[in-house]
Amino acid sequence: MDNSFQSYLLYLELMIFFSGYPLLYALVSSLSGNGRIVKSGLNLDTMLVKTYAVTGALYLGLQIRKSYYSNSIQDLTHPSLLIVFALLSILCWLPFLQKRKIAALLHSLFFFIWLLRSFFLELSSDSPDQHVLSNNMKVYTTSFLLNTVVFLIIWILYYIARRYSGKNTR
Amino acid sequence: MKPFSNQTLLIVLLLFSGYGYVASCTHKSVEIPVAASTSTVITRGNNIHLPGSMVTGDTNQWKLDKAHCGVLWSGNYVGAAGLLTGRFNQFGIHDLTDAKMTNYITTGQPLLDTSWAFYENDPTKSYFNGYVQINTSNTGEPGRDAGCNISTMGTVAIVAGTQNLSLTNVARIKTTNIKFDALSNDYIVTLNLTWKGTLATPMTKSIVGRLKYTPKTRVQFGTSAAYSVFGLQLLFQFNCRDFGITSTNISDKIDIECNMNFNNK
Repeated sequence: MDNSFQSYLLYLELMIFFSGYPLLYALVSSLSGNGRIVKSGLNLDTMLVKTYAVTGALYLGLQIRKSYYSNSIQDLTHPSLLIVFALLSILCWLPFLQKRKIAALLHSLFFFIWLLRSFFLELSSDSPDQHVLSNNMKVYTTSFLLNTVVFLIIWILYYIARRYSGKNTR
Repeated sequence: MKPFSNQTLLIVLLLFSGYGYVASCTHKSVEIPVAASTSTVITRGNNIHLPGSMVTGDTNQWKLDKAHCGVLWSGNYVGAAGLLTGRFNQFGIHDLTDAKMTNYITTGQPLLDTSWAFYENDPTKSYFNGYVQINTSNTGEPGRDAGCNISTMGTVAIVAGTQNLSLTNVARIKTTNIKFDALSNDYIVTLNLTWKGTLATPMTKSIVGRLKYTPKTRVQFGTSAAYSVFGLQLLFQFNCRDFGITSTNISDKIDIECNMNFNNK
């Protein structure tokens, strides 16, 4: 990536969508072993992967929207390598990958480590700017919240679907 | 054993996140240095230039290099169009008292150009007394210069071989106050301009002008002896109507530019 403003915007978009997932993954995974969660029958692992897939879909939607407003199909037909890599998260919709939650984690860790690297590079520079540091943390927090909200929405949908299917079977 | 311990991952991520929040919230940015001043940098040296008796060879005495000086005037033609300009061919830096205001049979300077002093860092000690011979006004048009200009200015025609320093033919300046300009390296000069013009008796007007100093520089050309030079430029303007000049060919406001060069040969 060069030092242009467009590259920085691309960096921000990728971080906001994907960098907060590892923390959500770690939190939810540590909860999935909880007795009450296991008794409720909710498969948190599947919901996690679906969360990541939805995040990927949201990112795809953003790219389509940007392409539409820029009146250029080229952005969509010739995306950068980073955008292509980010859009691989949509593959988490595949049943094959939904059973392998580690794939989503590894994919998101790429962006998390990139954010971490930027943060520590700024911190260790000759004249670190607090605004850059706090902006990085804001981006990370926003990403975590985005993924958490998506996870909660999926959880609610799962809950509603189970209650509805539960009523129908009576 | 799980290759990827969830607990370990959680702890590591929480540690990184926590450190990040603490560092971003508590880290103090490097203080932005104070902006450099945008005000003019004024530097004044300690040069002192005095004419003495203008003895040739005395490098402590500064001589007016008249051949490389000029007193220029300009005003708007008919008060509305572009500039009408000219110079005075004959001028000097001497305090013309009543006794000295007469004709001098000479083609050179009639009086020593010694009525001045310049102290670069102490303008209270600086002063200038100068004069121009009005009938030597040169606009490049002989018909004007020896014709209507003479009568318009209330003077008399040039007499060859004569320097006319009579009352009707000289305009004089005498500085009354010189002080530093706070905003530049220049000096603010208050002077009295005395000129009879077409009036019955000479009129004296107090005028404020600007003096620029070109600092002393040592020069040498080829194998000839080195010497030093410095320059002064005096700028001021006056209203020619104050001195009875009624010609509508020239605007009321006349700008004067005196460019004086000195050396210590």
